[in-house]
Amino acid sequence: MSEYKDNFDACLQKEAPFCGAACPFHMDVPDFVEKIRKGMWNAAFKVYRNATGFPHIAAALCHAPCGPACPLAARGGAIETALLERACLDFAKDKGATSYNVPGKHRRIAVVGAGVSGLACALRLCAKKYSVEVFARGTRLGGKLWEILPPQLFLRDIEEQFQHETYTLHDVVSVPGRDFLNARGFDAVYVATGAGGDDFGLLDAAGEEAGGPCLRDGHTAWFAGGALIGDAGAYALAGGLHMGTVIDNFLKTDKLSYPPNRAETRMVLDAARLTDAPPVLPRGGDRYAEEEARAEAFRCLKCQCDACRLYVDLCDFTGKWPLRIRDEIAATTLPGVSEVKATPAKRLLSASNLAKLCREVCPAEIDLEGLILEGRRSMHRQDKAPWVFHDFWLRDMDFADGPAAALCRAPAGAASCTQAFFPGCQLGAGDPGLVEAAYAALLARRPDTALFLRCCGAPAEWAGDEERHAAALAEIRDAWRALGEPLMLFACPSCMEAFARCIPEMPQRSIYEVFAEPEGVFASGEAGAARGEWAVFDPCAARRDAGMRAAVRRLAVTAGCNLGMLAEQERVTRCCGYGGQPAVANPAYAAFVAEKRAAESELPYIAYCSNCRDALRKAGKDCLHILELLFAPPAADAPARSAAPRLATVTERRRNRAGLKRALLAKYRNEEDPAPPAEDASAPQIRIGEALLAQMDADRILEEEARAVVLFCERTGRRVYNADSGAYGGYRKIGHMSYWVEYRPLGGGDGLELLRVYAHRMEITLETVWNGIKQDVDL
Amino acid sequence: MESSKTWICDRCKVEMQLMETQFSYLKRSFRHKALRCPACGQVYIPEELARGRMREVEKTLEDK
Repeated sequence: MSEYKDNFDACLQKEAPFCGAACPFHMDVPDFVEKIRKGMWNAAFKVYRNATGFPHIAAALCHAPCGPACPLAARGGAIETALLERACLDFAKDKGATSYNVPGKHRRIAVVGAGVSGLACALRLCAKKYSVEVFARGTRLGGKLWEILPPQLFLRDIEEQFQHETYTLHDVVSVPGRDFLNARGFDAVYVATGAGGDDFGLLDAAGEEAGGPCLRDGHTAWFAGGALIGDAGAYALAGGLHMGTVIDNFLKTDKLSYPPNRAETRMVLDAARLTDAPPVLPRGGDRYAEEEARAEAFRCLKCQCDACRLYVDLCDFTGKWPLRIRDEIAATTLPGVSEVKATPAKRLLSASNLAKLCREVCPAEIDLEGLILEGRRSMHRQDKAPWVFHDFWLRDMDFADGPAAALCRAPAGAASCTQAFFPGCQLGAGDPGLVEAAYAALLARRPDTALFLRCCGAPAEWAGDEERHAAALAEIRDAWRALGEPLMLFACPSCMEAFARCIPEMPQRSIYEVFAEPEGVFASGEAGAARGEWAVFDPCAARRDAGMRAAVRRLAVTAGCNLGMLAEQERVTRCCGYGGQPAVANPAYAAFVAEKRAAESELPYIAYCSNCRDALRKAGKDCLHILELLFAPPAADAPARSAAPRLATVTERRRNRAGLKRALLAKYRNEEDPAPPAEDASAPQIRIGEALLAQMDADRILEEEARAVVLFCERTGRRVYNADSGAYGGYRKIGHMSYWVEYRPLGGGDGLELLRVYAHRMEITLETVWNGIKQDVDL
Repeated sequence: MESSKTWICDRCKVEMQLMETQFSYLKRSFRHKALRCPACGQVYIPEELARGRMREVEKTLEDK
C-alpha cells in the first residue's frame, strides 16, 4: 500500500494560489474573498490585517503584484485585489487591534530602526509577548514612510496596531556596535536601519548556511532586513513581519535560519474554470461600493488544484479530498480491531468505482483508485471487509462460471479456431438474443469462431479477493490456450480492459471494430432509417481504446443515428456507477453517479457496455446498447425509452444465461446441456405477483431463493401461522443471507401465493437445546 | 407489536412471544428480544423489523 500512499506526497491540494504566492504578505486571498462574498467585512478585514500587520499602510503601499500572477489576467482581467482591500478598509466596522491573551515571555529582542520593517517585526514579536526594545534616532516612527505617505495615515495605523502592545523606545543617536546590544543581554537583534544604514557587519558576515544576512555573536543572534537588504515599500513591511516569525522560531529552536520571504507554487488550475468576465469597475472612481466589491469577489476563481473534486465522483459525493481519503484508508486498513481504532473508510472503500480516473485527471497523477483497490485487498486479507458489499456479485460470478451458464467451445466440426467470442456474462444475462445474433454474425464471417461464456473475474478483483481473481484468470488463460490461443473478440469493454491488463499475451479486439470494418457485417453506406440525434456514451474501460470508440460511432451512424457530443464524457470517460460494484455498500453513491452521467446531455445515449446501459436506464435515461440498434432495432420513429424492452430482473438474468448456453449448444454443437436445471415435479406451484417480483429484483433476491425457502418451510414445517390472514411465514439461510417468505395456500389446491419476501444480513443464532430438547439449528 | 398476538408456531400451535434471541453479524454477537415460540424456540422476524431497525444495526456494524 505504501507505493500508493507515497504517491500522495505530490498532491497539490494545499498548494498556495498564484496570488498568494506572489503577494509579499502571502495573504490567504481565497479566504479573504470568501468573506467579502458573504459581506463579512469585519472578518475580511481581520484576514487582511493579520496578513499585513498595518492594514492602512499596506493598502497604501500595495502595488498588487498578485495581478500579473492571476490566471484571469490573460482572460477577462486579474482580480482587483487592491480595490477589494480598500473596500475592506471602507466597510469593516470593527477595525480595532486584537488583544492576544498570551503569557509574557522573558526573552528580549532589540529592533534597530523604527521604519516600517522594524516596526512590523516589533509588532509581531510584541503580539507574541516577547520583551521588545526599539532603538531609533529620535523618537520619530515610520522612517521612509514620511517621504511617501501622509503622516496621519501611517501614524494612526501604527498607534492603532500597537494599542494593546508595549515596547520600549530608546532614543539613540546611533547604536555604536554589536557589543553595545550584546552587553545588554538581548537574545536577538533585528537590524532594519534603512537603505545604506549601519549593517553591523551583517551584510558581509556569514549567514550563508542560515540562508541570509544573520549571525550569532556570543549569546545574541543578529538578523538584518528591510531597506537595508534592498526591500522597499510593501516588501519592507512584509519582510519585517516575516522576520518577526523567523526570530520567534529561532528563540524556540535555537537554530539560526534565515528563510527567504518568498513563496512558490506548483498550482495547476483546470482550464475549464477560466472565464472571460471582465473586472468590476468602481463607478465612484477609485473605490468600490459594497455590492461592486462583492461582485468582484464572486469573479475570483479561488484557485485550487481540484481536478479530483471536479471529475472524481467519489470526491464529489463525499466532499472529501484525496489526502483525507488516504488518511481514512490508512486508519481503516491498519491492523487491529475497530474497538481500539477508527475505521472511517470502511464503507467508502467499497463505494468507489475504481475507474482509474483520478490518475488521469490529476496533474500529479495520484492514483486514488489504486489506493482504494489496495485498501479493499488489505481489508479482504484481514477478513475485515463486510461480506455483504460484494456477496451478490461474487455469487453471480459463481453462477456465470458454473455448469449452468459457462461454456467454452469451438463450433461443431472446427478442430481449433482462430478467434473466440467472449461476450461477457452481463450481456448474456441482460440480452441473450444479442449474444446469439452477434455470434451468428461473427460465425458468418469466420466459421471457426469459438464461443467463450463466463465471467471475466471482475467481481473478485473488485472485492479485493486476489486469490479468487487470480484463479479465475488462470482458468480463463488455460481455456484460451486449449482453444489454440485464438484472437479474443469482446463485446464488453470492461472484460477487454481487464484481460489486456491481466493476460497481456492474449490478442484481443472488440466486436465493434470487427463489425465496422469495410468488409464487416455493418459496412458503412448501408445507413438504416433515420433515428434522430443520439450521443455515444463511452464506458470508462474504453478510455484508452480509440479504435473501439471510433468503431462504435461508425456503427451508430450506420444504424441511422446522428451523433451529438458528450463533450465531458468523451474527454474524461467517467464510470456509469456500476464499476467497482458500489451499489450494495453505498446505493446512494451508485445512483448519484448514474444520475450525473444521465444528466450530461438531453440526447438519448448509445452505450456499448451493458452495465452502462443498465445503470443509465435505471437512472431514467433513454439508452440503448449499440448491439440493440444493430440486431434488434426499434422502429425508427419510436422514442428510445418505449422502444427498449424492460431490463431483465436478477432472476431473469440467471435464467437468460442458462438459456443462452442451452440454445447455443443445441444450435451449433447439436448438444444437450449436460447439466439441465433439476425440476421437482412434485413441488407446489408458487405464484408471485408483479409488484413483489419488482421488489425482489430491487432487493437482489432471486425467485429461486424465495422458492427454496417456501419449499423448506413446507417440507420441515418450520413456519409460523397467522390465523387472521391465513398466511405462513418462515426463513432459511442461503449463503450468508437469511431469506424470509410469507405465503398462503391458494384455494382448490392450486398451489401457493407468495405475499412477502425479504432478507437480512444478521444471522439468528439458535440454541442447540431449547426446553431440554435438542433442536435442529441448521437452517 | 400487534402481530405478536396473531402469529403462532405452526409446529407447536402456541403463540409467538417476545423472548431473548441471539444474533450475530460480522464477528459480533448480541442479544435482543424477538418473537419466538416458547415451546420450540422458533424465531419470527416481521418484514418491518428486517427492513427497519435490523437494517440500521447491520449498517452500523458494517461501518465499524
